[in-house]
Amino acid sequence: MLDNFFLLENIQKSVYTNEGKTIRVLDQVDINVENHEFICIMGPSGCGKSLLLRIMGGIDNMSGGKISFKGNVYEDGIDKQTKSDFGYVFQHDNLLDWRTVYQNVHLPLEFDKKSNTKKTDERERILNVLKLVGLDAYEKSYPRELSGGMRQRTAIARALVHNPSILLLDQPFGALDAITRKILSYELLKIWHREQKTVIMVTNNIEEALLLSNKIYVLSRKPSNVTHIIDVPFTYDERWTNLLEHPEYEAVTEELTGYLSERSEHENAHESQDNHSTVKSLDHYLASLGDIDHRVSC
Amino acid sequence: MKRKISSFLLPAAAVIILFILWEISISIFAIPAWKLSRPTEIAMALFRDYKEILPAVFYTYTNVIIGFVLAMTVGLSLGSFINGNKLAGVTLTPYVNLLCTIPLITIVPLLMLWFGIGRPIIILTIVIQSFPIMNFNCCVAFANVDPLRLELMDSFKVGKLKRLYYCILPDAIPGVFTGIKLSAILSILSSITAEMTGGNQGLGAQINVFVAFLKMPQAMACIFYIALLGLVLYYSISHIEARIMKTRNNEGEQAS
Repeated sequence: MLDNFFLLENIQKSVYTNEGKTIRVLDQVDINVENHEFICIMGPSGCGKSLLLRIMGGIDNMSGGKISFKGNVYEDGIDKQTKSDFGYVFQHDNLLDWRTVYQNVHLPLEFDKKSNTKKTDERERILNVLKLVGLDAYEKSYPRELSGGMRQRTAIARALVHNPSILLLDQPFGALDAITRKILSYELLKIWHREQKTVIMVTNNIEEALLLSNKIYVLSRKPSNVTHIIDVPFTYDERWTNLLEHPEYEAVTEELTGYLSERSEHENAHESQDNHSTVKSLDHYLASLGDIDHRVSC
Repeated sequence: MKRKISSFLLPAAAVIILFILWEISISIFAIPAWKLSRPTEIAMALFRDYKEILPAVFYTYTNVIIGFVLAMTVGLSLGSFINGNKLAGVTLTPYVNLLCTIPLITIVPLLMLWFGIGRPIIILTIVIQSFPIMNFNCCVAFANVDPLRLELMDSFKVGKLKRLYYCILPDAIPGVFTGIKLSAILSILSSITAEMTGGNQGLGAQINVFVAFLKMPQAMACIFYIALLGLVLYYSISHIEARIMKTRNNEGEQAS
């Protein structure tokens, strides 16, 4: 059953507060991602879902557990060689202001020592991904000349240019307005379908998660575990019709909303034990990780 | 274009008016020449005594340029090193910053005692006085690089040097240029101070000689050359900075 494409077992992460206390953010997280799947990770604010994604991408290291990827086991997180098999999209586009769209997309290729691709091949590759996100006419523009949506498209192009197997998206549309968000969601759906990538996305938006993913992992409050896994029953073609009219849409939405607002007794007990100032400084830490999103619906 | 012309013409006009007022007030208030020379006399000294002044100008200019470039290099390298190496940063930073506050005039005699007089000692003085401010500004600018940018570099897992070249340095350009400007100013100040305290050549020493013989217009002509160097250095640096920053700060015209 398990194809061990990308498997996270028992992932643990503790962070240190300013007062020298240790707080466990990720308790024991198990996630099994199959090839070509689109996974969404949801959970209450501050539960460490962005942190989990950063661990997957090797930006942060984990305190315990192991990651298996394509049959290899990584006990200390993804290593340098394997990193080029991941594309990371940040919540804010994180483009380099001093580089043009073309140069920004070129960045991962500059770091990829293994590839001995010729300049012309590189150029073709970059123009291809820019076309994929609809920005081929803007290769010479600077980020300041682009709208928020276009900047995020550039960031997606940058994450795709080195042809990674897994695309990691950390609340990629969180900073965009509702309409742009919707348009980009559909584009992402198309890109995922066309490029046959595995996508793992952290989001706070239920609608977005249901539109895009095959499977939704719901995390509990910290110390977090995977509490529920939801299989999203829609086919690719159904996603392009009005999902609201789908017979199962309401039921799945309700199920997911219920899971997200759930608080177990264990969690309640844990919350009341927490020293207030510790919670504050942890929140501060997580805010510095760009994890806090106050619009979370719980 | 109009703005460009006026940004040059207005200050020039102000200087000319100042010179005219200066010239007239000396006549009106009958200020003796040994107290304050007329602008016309200074201008004449510039041409008449060029044989005495120009070698000093050349000596000082070359010292300042060499010292400034060295100070810039040392400051930037040390800043980069401190940025990539926390332990070194904690150890070195207080001492380097302390150098900013030590008045130069107190160390020149010491340096002379150790190394004698001459060109190397002046260049050394310039470097000692100018690199800490460069280092200080670089460190601050490097430390303030957007953490998100560094995360982007982490997502590629690149080495320290590449991180510096691709991300930290370009992001910190404004701060680095503040350091360059300040260290240019300090380079001029320290070279003149060194020449006045312990040199026998250069504009600083030449001013000492002229003042001793009450040749005030000639001394003022030397000061003119010092000011000129400051202006040229400052505006060349600003110009380079503006060209680098051009792609980032302009109002976007294509934005949609």
